[in-house]
Amino acid sequence: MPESGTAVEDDLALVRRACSGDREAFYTLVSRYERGLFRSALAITRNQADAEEVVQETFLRAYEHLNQFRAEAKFQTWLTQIALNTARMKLRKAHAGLWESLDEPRATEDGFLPRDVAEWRENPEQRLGRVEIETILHHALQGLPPGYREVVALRDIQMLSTQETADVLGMSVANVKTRLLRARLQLRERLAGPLGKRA
Amino acid sequence: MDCHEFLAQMAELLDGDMAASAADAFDRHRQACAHCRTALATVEQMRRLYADERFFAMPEGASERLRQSLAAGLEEPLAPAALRPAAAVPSSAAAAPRRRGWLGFGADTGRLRALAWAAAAAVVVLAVGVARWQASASTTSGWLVDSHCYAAYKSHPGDHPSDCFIKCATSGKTVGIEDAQGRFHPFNARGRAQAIAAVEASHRKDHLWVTVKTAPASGPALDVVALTLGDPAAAR
Ligand SMILES: [Zn+2]
Repeated sequence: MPESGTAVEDDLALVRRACSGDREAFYTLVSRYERGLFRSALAITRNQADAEEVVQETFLRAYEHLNQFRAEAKFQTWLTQIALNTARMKLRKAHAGLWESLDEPRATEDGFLPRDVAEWRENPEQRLGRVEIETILHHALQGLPPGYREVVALRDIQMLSTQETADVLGMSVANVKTRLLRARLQLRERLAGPLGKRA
Repeated sequence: MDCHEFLAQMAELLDGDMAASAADAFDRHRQACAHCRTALATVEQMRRLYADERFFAMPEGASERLRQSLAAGLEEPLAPAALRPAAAVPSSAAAAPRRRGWLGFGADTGRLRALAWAAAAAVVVLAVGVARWQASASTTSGWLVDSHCYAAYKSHPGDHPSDCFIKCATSGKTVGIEDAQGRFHPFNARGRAQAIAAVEASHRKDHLWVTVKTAPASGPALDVVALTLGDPAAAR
C-alpha cells in the first residue's frame, strides 16, 4: 500500500536512477514486477523451477541492457518481452521433442459457439483445496496451443492490459481480443470437466 | 443479437470496452439464451480463478533466491550500462573485430570483381529460367500452417503464431498451406525451406498468409517454386 501523500515513484525515474548505479532503485523495480512475471512464466514454462529461472534471467538481462530501454515504451512491457523470450527459449530447450505430445491439439471446429455448455459449481475454492484447484487450472492451460496459452498468461494471469499484451506479442489489439476470446472459450471448456456440475 | 455477436460483445465486456449502445441487446440475449448465459458466467468465474494470486504464486523462498542471484549477478563487471562508454555494448563488441578480420584477410579487389561478374551472370540465367517457368506456373494463396497445429487452428489459421510454426517446422513436422476450402496441402522440401526463410525474415507474429507459385503437375506435396508472405485482405 502506498502511503497517502507520497506519490509512488514511477518506473522511468527508477530506471534512470538504476542506470546511474543506484541498486536500490533496481530492486524496487524487482519487487514491483517479480510476482506478475513469475505467474505468467509459470503458466508458459509449466514448472516452478523453470519459472524461477526465467524471472532471474529476465532481471539480469534487463539490468544488463537497461541503457537500451526506450522511454517511449512502458517498462513492464519491455520487461515482459524479455521474460517471454526467455520462457520460450527455455520451453524450446527443455521440451524439444516432448512438447508435441503434451500439446496434442483437440479439434474444436465450428468456431466456438456455446452449445451444451456445462454450468460450474459456485465457488470451487470452498469445495476443493488450493493445490487441487491450482493443478486443475494448470492442467487446463497446458492443453491450449502455445499462442493461446501466452495470451491468457499475459492478460488473465499476469493481468496486463489488452494494449500491453498486444505490445508484448507484437500483435494488434483487435487480434489480441479475438485470440483471447477463443483461448478463453477453449480453456473454459477444458475446465468444465473438473469444475462442472457433473464432476 | 445472435450468439456470435454475443460472444464478440462478451470479449469487449470482459475488457471493459463494451459500448453503452450494445448493453441492452446484450442483456436481452443473455436472458433469452441459456448457453450464452452459462458461457459468460463460467468465463467470468474462470477469469476470477486465474487472476487469484493464491494460484501460480511464487513458492516460498523464491523471492530470496532471486535477490541472491541478482546480488551475485549485479556484482559482476556489469557496471550499470549508462556508466559504460557508449560503444561497449557487450554483444556487438565481441563480434565486430572478428568480422573485420575476416573481411580484411585475403579479399583482394580483383577477386571481388570476378565474384560480382559471376553473380550478375547467375541473375541473368535465373531470369531466363523464371520466364520459361512462369509460362506454365500456377499461383495459390492460403494460410501457412504445419500439420501439427492444423487441427488446433483449423477454424482460425490466422492465429497460428510464427514462432510456433518455426518450432514445428524445425522439429520435422510437415508444413504446408491451408487453402480457402480449409484443406491442408503439404509443401515439398523447397517450399518448406522457403516458408521457414520467409517467416524468419518477417516480423510478423501471426497472420501468416502466403502466396505460392507452384510448378504444374505437382504430386501429393505442392511443388513450391516461389513463396511470399502477404496480406490476406490484399490477396482476396
Ligand atoms: Zn446465445
